Amino acid sequence: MTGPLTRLAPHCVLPCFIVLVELAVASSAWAQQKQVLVLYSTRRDAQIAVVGERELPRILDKGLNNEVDYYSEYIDRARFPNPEYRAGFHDFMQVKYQGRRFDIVITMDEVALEFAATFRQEFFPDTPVVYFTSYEDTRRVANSTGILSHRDMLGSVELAIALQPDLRHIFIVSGAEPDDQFLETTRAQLMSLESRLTITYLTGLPAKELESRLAALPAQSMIYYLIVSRDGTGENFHPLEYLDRVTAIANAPVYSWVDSTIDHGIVGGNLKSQTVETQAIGELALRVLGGESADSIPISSRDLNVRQVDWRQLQRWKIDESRIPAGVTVRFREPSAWDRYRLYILGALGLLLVQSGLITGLLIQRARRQRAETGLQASRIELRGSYDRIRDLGARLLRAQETERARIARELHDDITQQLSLLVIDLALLRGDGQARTLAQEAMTRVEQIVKSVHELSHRLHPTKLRLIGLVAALRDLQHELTQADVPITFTYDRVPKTLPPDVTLCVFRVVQEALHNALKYSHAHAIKVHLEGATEELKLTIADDGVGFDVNAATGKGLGLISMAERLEAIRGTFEIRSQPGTGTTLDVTVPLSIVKHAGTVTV
Amino acid sequence: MNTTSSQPARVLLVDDSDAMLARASAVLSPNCVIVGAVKDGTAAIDAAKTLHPDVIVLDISMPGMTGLEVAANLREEGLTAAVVFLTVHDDEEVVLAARQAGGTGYVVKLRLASDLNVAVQEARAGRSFVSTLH
Repeated sequence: MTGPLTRLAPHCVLPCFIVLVELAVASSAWAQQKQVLVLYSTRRDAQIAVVGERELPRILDKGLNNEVDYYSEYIDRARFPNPEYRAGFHDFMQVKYQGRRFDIVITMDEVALEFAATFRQEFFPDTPVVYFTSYEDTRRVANSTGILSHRDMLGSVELAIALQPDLRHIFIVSGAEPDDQFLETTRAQLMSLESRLTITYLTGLPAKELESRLAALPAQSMIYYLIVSRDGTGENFHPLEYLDRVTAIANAPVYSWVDSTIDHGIVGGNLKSQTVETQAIGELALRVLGGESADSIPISSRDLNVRQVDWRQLQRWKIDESRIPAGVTVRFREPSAWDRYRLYILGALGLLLVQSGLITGLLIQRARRQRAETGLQASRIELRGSYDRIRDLGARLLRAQETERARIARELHDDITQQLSLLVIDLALLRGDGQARTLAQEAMTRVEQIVKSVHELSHRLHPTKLRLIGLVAALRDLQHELTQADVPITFTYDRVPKTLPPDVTLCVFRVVQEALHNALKYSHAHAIKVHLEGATEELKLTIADDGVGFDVNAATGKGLGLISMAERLEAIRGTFEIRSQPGTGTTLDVTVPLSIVKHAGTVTV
Repeated sequence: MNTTSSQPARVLLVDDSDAMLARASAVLSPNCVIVGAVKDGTAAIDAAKTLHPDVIVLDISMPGMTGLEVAANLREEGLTAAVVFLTVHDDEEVVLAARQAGGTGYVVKLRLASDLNVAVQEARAGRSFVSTLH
């Protein structure tokens, strides 16, 4: 520390002053800083060292407000088992840390603790030691405390047995490192299994031989990887890199005991967590640095092991996931399609469900509608049938009425009129004189009146003359009969066939009669025109008035006159159309086919 | 016809009513020879063919053929007997129809006693006669 100052002194006073100030600041900071030395029992790149170097400075910095001067050293006995290395390391430490006073020495594992204990007086006589050990029989040195976490070598095998129920062989792999204690501990813990399983120790073999063994293990085997830092030929390996080789060539599942091995191809095990281990050590160190006497803190025994499996390796060895015991952490599980797309799948399923629901609803609705339509169709057919029956009944009623009227009219006309005529003739032929003659004359006159009344009654009931004089003459007669002084009725006709079917004759006569009566009664017409025209195949009748007219749509189906007109025409396949609007008069067009059609029935005229 | 005017007219009576036939016969017999009395159209045509009456007194309303049809048939058959229609119809249209059917006389039954003889004589002379009613 004084070297640079003496070299700088001759050149400049001011800079020297500045440097001195800086040094003063630095030395005051130095006085407050905690000097920490961590000793590892492994090479620098061993996983415990990697984790320790990552975690310990962070924990200590945090606990001591960054006032930490942190040193770490590595005793790589695995690669350098010879005593010269230990001596050389001692010398190196002596040179490097001469005059340095540490506030705490942390030792990780046995080699480091052994070194610290051995050279304590020389290097750091008053410095408390915090250590980590895996063995219960570790000797506690003065002014020290530590954490004991024994290696649970059995736990990993038990997990393997759970995963591979038919397990019969265990092959324990370790290198040529001089760590007998680890091997012995393992052997002791697995002793209980020897009755059930064959346990083979592949210790310190040449890598080549080891690998060929591991590639051809019998069925129902497992490999228990302890650590391989060097093989039987003295070749050194990074234990994790060598593990990668082992898991690549092995034909049986590989298990281990420390969590650094996870993600290096092992199936799993009850693995010691190096992070938790480091954290526990860090916290313990903080307590000591905080002023607690190391000796007053009892050795704490911690179970740092976590049972865990690598999901990918389960797949590789076709180990059923359902065999994983409760409480085992499953790592590196590749999310299944379900895990990855659960939301989408659920969404799609939901949509599908909604869609299915909609489709089902639509189908149900369609079925209902079809049923309804079928029902409607049936109703329609039924209604049509009813309508046909009613129409048929109507037609039959009309025919019956006409027939009966015709019969009564004929009786009245042909019989009663005949009888009365005979009476009149007889009265006329009666010979007599004076009073008798006068009486007979009066009787004749009276009977003639009766004949006239009967004749009119008969005519009103049925136009008996139709048969005698034909449609045109009968219509002409009707025209004369109904014409009134203020409502002239004109009747014109053209090409009307001489002979017409009796029912057509009667029907047309009745329609004209009905229409004229309606017109006279309701239309307030000043003139009514009737025109009848015959063509080859049909008879056309037009009746037009210049009256008040009416709303056809509103009147359809209301007036009995229109209904009976329609029914009469329907019976002879005739049609009719009424053209009218309020104020424009009314025109009735009737068409009756004259083709030879056998009508439903005929009326005797 | 004039050549035979001195002779009593030969008359065929056609009516479906026996009573009416009897009355007509009674009215006509003083002046005419009643050559036959039949009760329907078919019989009337047959009788006309065989009996060659001068005048046929023909009822219009009969079962079967009407008097009008019988008259039309007689014309078609070429029979020249004058036809005097006898009817209860007191109606211009029927008179018209009767004329068209070839009738010469038209006697309403109510006026049979007074008009039939006149109508037959007129018919035999080739003249028309129609009962006046109103």
